[in-house]
Amino acid sequence: MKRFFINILALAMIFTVAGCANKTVANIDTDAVADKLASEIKFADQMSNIEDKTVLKLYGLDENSVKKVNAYESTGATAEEIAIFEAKDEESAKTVKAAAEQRINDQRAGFEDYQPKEMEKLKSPVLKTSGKYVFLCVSDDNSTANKVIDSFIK
Amino acid sequence: MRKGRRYRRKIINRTAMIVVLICTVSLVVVGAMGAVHEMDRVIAKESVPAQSKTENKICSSEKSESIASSKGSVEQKENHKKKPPENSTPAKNNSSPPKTNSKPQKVSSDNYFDDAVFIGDSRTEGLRNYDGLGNATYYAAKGLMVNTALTKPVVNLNGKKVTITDALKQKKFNKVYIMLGLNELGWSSFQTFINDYGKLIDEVKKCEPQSKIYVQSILPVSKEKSQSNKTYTNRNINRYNEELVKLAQKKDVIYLEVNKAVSDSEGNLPKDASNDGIHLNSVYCQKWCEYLKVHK
Repeated sequence: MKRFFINILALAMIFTVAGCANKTVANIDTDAVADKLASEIKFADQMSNIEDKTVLKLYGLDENSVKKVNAYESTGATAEEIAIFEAKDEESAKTVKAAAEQRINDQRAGFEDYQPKEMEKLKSPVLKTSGKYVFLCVSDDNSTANKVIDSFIK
Repeated sequence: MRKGRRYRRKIINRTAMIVVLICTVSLVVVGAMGAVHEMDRVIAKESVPAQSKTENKICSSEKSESIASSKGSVEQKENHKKKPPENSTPAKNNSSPPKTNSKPQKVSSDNYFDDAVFIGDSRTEGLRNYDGLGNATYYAAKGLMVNTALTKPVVNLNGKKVTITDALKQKKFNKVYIMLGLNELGWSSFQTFINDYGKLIDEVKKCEPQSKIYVQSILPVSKEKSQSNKTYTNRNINRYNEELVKLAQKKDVIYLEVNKAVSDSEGNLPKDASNDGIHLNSVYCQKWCEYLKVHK
């Protein structure tokens, strides 16, 4: 009887360890995140997907830091933007995040006199990191943006 | 006595078994919860369908704005104009037609625009985003005008912002495309616009003496935009373009009628080309690109 319970306990401990073992950030589909943001947020402008190389140029990044990216840009009439990055690693993600912050600052400088109403969107856009992933969404619906991004992170 | 000890031992054993049982059940429950949570996350990821990268998301909204209502553009217009009345210098009267593109022939090389730079305002920024022009370079900024093109540091070069002319001095291009004029439609002095544009062309020539310079016509606005205000009208745009033709001729540069690539039969920007009647969407930027590929 004792031996039986000891065996059961051992199995239970193994099961627990297996269930709780995986705490690392799972792979995130950057395309899925970007597409879901584009479809769920009601943007004021027409948003279009842009080429990876154009995104990298826009953000001053290169393939040394970025493994994958998916981005949507507006026509230029608004500051709306989506950019989802998979960096090479967590260290590179810091570089990518810094580039995203610079992008926001550049947009603020550009829109301040050009279209002051867009400054509201640029005041506190959604900019998050999770492991090697960096998420940027500029819109006037941060609540939805946060929900969508969080659903992929958790 | 022995029976008492046996009895105590029995109780202890039973208690120990109950404790072990409770621990076992707790551990099993915790482990199961962790596994279920992991499965939920995997299922949630897999349920979002991947969409094509080329899909164009078009969202209409009541919140669309136009640059005609932008305080910024109005302020720039007002700040600029304390200049004296228009000079009476006549435009050069030349009976030969303006230098436009020669026989249209689509560029065969994907690298044709690698040595090209595009100078312009927010519309050129839009072209940058949706271009099919290979590795073209863009020196463009929102609200850029013919005077600020020479003075405003808008180009990010080696981590530092410099003016367009400073950037041109540091990097050589064989083709320079310019599109400016939309933000200057409200200038009180039309001749000042032409003079400043001429100065810009002269500076570009100094920086890039071997390059071919292309003056692109100002693209039209939509009919609705044109009819909704007195400044950003296609009538004004056409007037400016007529003078740009003469300027290009005077400066011996090439004039490109890119407006034809995106206009409808009445010379307006079609309704489906833009959200605000001014900034082109990706489809119409591609039409603009196709024109540039053919006319060189």
